[in-house]
Amino acid sequence: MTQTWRDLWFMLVLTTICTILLVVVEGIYQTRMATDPSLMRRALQLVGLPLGEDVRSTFEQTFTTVARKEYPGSFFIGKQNPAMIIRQEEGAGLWGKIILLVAYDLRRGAILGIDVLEHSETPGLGARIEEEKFRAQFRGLIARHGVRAAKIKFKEGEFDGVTGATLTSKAVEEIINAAIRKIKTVAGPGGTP
Amino acid sequence: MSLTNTQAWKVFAEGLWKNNPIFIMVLGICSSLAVTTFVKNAFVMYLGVAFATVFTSAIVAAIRKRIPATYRMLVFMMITSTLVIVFDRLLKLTLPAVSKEMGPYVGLIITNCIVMGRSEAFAMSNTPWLSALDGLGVSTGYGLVLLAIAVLREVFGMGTLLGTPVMPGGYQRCGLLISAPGAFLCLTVLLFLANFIREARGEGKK
Repeated sequence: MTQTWRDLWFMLVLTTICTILLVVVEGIYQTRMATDPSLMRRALQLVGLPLGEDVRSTFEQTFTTVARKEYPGSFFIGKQNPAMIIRQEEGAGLWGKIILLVAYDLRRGAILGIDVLEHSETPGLGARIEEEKFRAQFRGLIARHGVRAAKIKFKEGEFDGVTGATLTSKAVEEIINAAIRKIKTVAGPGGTP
Repeated sequence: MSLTNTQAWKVFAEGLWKNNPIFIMVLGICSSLAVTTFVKNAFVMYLGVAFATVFTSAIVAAIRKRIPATYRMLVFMMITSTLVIVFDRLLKLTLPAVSKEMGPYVGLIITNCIVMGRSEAFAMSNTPWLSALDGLGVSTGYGLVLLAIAVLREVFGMGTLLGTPVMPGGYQRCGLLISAPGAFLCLTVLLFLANFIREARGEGKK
């Protein structure tokens, strides 16, 4: 075997080991994150529900967790109000992944609220999507056909993007729209799941 | 034979002072400026760099005879990135709040020159055990400087240490130290002190 082939084999083996390791770690991470109590707390806070004494049991009393094969991740569907669905949705931001929690009311076609779980946007610009001021505008925003980042709002579903962070605002728009689209597919005929 | 005379100790101690990555090699400056506003963050950063350096060095040393010379940088990068991603995930699961404050700087350990520098300069020609010690020594040298800057910035800039107030009431916080230029100031003062001591002890002359 020549040196070139030996080098090639070495690189192949090393890459395979690294990839397998990363896949395993990512798998463990994702399953741990899915049952993360802080996610449950934020989901309850997002729709303005009391946390109760034990966040986990309150969460399980309030929501059913539903998984769909075609979309990785879970949907949290309200037990008493099945039109209320929360979806954790991610997408590419300017510097890295943005993960949002989107609560949607199917009956009214309105967003109940959004929460930013993870992002690595520019501090002072794109990172302002975390701020209460930015997130508050989604509370009760009617968005039957999705949302759009706009400078001047005159149509349904339009929201104020962050000035100086067009790409981040666009990313947020896309993530919310993907979440709404997926939430609608979970719903059965008649608009309720 | 006392502990301080063994080869292992010498390898470890070299990174602390004689070959300190920040004072002598002036590596890892970016992260030492970015994550030193709080002592806690600096410590987590130290843990991350130590984890990455120790294991990258050990793994590189273990397979050093098989690493193709032409692609050695690629090999280092691959091992480091894998380890750093593992550390990042661990941090997110155990300390989500700290992980959030650190922002992208945990991921940027991958490009930290200290990690790669040790692989190239030491691990490629030494045994895994010595390489791990060398990695630990160098990253501890880095971590100590990081902690020194962080203590200066947190105590004088925020009036707290590890989150608890330490300054007398009515202390006017020094906002400059918390801003990015403040980190440069602290680093410069420490660098000056280190070189001053070195000079006084007659070290560092060729």
